[in-house]
Amino acid sequence: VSPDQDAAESVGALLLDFAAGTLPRPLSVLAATHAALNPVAAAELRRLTAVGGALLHDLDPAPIADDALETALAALDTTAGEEAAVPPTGGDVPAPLVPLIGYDIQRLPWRWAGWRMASVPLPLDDGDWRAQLLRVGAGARVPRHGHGGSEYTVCLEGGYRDGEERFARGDLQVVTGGREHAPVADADGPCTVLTVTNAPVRFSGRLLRFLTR
Amino acid sequence: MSVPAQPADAPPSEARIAAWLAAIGRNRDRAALIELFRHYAPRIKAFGLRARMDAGAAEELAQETLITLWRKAHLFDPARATASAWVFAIARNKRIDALRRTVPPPSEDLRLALDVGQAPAADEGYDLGRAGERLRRHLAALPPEQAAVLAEAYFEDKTHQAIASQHGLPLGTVKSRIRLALARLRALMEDA
Repeated sequence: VSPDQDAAESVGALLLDFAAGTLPRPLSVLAATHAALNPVAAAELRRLTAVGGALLHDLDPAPIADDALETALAALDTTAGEEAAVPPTGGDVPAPLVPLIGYDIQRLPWRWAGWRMASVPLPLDDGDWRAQLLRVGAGARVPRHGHGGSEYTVCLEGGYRDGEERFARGDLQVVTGGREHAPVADADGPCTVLTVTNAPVRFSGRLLRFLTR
Repeated sequence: MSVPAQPADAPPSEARIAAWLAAIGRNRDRAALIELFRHYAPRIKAFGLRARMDAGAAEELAQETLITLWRKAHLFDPARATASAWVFAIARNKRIDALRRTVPPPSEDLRLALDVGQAPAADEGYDLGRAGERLRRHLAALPPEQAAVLAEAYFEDKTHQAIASQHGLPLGTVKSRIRLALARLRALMEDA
């Protein structure tokens, strides 16, 4: 399996696990962010949800208590239906991130994370999975690094290049275990991404390895 | 909207489920909720049991899903999602919340809007209900090993990676079974 094929499969698997509701929290937010910004992912997610609907419809029923219906009926209110509690969209922050970071990405508590890089950790820890926003200055290069596990990245603003591949707002990149890379932000402005990992970054250079030991 | 008639013991069609949701959304129709409950509550309970909830919690999941359907039925738009997909999305969100204890962001309503709510309305002439029916027929006709991994991917509370290790199958085998099953289903959903 080539790395590209592997990455494509990881994207498909991510959306399937999101539709099935089995993702750890940071990946759930990341998948939702990708689908909110990318129409192809959104269409795939709708298909996967329809498959879930068909499977549930034809699932073998489990016997249910005689009074279950009565209990449910007693809990029904007679008032009008609730409005959907979806935060209004607006600005550049995708809807799934609004409850976490609000509407203004510039005014977050960015903290220094290395040469021309800043980060904001998101309070979504789930097992080994961690989520953070990362901002890289225009034209800056993230030092070559690898991961013991997987790294999922959704580009939120600006764009970046990683080897032969380019990523723009809404694009998802999956880097699976072992592969090293050194992404470079586009020259025309800073690049902000949401990144989710399940293992610490391992820098390849000796100095950084020493500093982050 | 009148609810289309069909034999009493046949599984309800997409159109019938959509009509129940519309009757609840518009008229707070308790009879429609009772019909919806009769079909779905035992299946949503089974859905909870598959994720290793105990019987009491699984039954609660079924009740809470039906109560949520009552509250949100007016938000269902048949031009944007099949009725069965919409019911599934609500049951799935309830199950996530029950299994995780704390409500994970994104919120329930946001997740609902994402996977079924913001779809562009179907083109004229494209009958989503009929697409849903076709989907169910083809699911029933999938090779058993593909149907089994697909059902596990949706129903057990674990990622497909965990499913592979549970069966002692290579991850590649599980992935390719799921991929084959979904490729067929995708082709038939696009070919309206």
